[in-house]
Amino acid sequence: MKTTSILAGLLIMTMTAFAPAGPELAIIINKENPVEKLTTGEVKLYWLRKIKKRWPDLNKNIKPVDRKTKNADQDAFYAKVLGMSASDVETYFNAKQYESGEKPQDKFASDAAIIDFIAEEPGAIGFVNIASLTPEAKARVKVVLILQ
Amino acid sequence: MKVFHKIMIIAALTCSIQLTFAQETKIRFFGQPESTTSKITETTSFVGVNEFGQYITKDTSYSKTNFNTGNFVLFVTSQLSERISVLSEVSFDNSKNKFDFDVQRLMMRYYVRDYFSVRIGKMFTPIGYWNNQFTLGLVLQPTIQRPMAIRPVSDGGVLQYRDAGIQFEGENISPARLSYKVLLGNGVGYYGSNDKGDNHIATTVQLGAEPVDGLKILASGMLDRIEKGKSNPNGSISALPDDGNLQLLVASVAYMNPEKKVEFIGELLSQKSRFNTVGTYNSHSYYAYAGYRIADKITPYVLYNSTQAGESKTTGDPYFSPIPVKIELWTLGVRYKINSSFVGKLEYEVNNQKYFYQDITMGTVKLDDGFTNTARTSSVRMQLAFVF
Repeated sequence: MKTTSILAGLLIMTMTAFAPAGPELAIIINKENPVEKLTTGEVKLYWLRKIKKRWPDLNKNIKPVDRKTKNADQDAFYAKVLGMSASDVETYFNAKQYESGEKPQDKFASDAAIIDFIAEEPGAIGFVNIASLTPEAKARVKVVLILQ
Repeated sequence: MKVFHKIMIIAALTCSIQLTFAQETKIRFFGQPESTTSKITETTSFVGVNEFGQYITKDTSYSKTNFNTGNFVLFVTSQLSERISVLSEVSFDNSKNKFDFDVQRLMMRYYVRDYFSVRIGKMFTPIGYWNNQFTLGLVLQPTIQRPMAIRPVSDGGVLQYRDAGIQFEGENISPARLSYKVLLGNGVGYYGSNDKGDNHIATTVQLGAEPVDGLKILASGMLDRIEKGKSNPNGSISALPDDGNLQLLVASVAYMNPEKKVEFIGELLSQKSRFNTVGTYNSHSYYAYAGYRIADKITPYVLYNSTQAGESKTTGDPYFSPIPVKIELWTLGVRYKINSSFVGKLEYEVNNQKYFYQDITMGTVKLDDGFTNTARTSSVRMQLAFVF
């Protein structure tokens, strides 16, 4: 019995150690944006437009980009960067829109659509799964943070 | 405004919005049907007896239950360009046994920098915290109704919650995230900001800081003219006795951070009606709201409100209420956030109102004693607020 318990505990520990990690995300911006690197805290402040409404050196509106439907990448971004639930993120943007007409985040159905949008919009900032960053995609957008 | 004109405004706004890129225009629909069960107990007590040795007491008690559809709000914003945005808010109110249609806000904003923008049109006055954050977006509001202290003049309060004019504003100034708003508008009037008989422009100023994420500290003030012969804002006096100035000062502190469990809002209002010859009268109100989120979706809360119209039991405030009034409200509630689109609220409220009627005298002859009319109302209220 004791041996069985020890073996079970070792098995659980092993499974945990080799459990698949959360999705690896890349925070991307437009290539025209002079920003090179951002910390997790800075990504949060810019994406939520808490300290600025426009990129300081680019002089363009900050445009946060999001996924249209719930998925693991979005959950990871909300948890690791924003520290908010999906419901709270929506409420946050609803409140900003109601208070001052501030435009909510742009939403897209896929990482490819997000990359296409950010490549065209100088002020956009968004997140994609790192697997979506093909060499062609990397040539079109700038990665400012990798989240693991 | 006639219904036809209002419809034309909506049609014009809709057409202008069609010219913009679809992604840049956001349309929201807010609704908040509710049901209320109230038990009202009203007692009248006389302070002493009249010359005939008589005293009168009157006790009435009754209950009522009603359902109402509440407000429905059509809310449209559009980013016309990098710097220009427009906002419109139209409400349909069926809460007072009739159907009211009103243009709550209609404004355009030109953004220059974070520290300087210009708004023009009809907008919420920059008074306090609650007035700019919630108003008709009840899915966002922590309680079912506004605290009594900040009810608009149309609901018997002191607040001119919206005005037409031009506003200069700035935010995110320095690491302390300082902000300012300066509104030059029509000012207070019985019919809102449309009842304007002189060329005086009311000035409203708000200064704010957010030293910690989610903690907002605001100081607001409004200065407007009082016009002799006009009615006071809530209509309790048909013709004010004198010209003068109205001064409204509000101090606000709020901590509403969705990342934290605790939430708090407190505001203190001080109103001074300074007539040229009749004298100066003061009223003040304050409220405190506190909530604590448990289990992520459930937030029990408490709200306390105190309103004193007039400085004492014997001195009213001609601009707010000629008869001194003391109002105290306690509200206990719980809010359940189903998701960002649906929020249910359940409240128990106790409202104590005291009206201090004064002695009736003619010259040196007292015709009748004054008395205190006390009304106590306890209510259970439910609301489902939503946004699409």
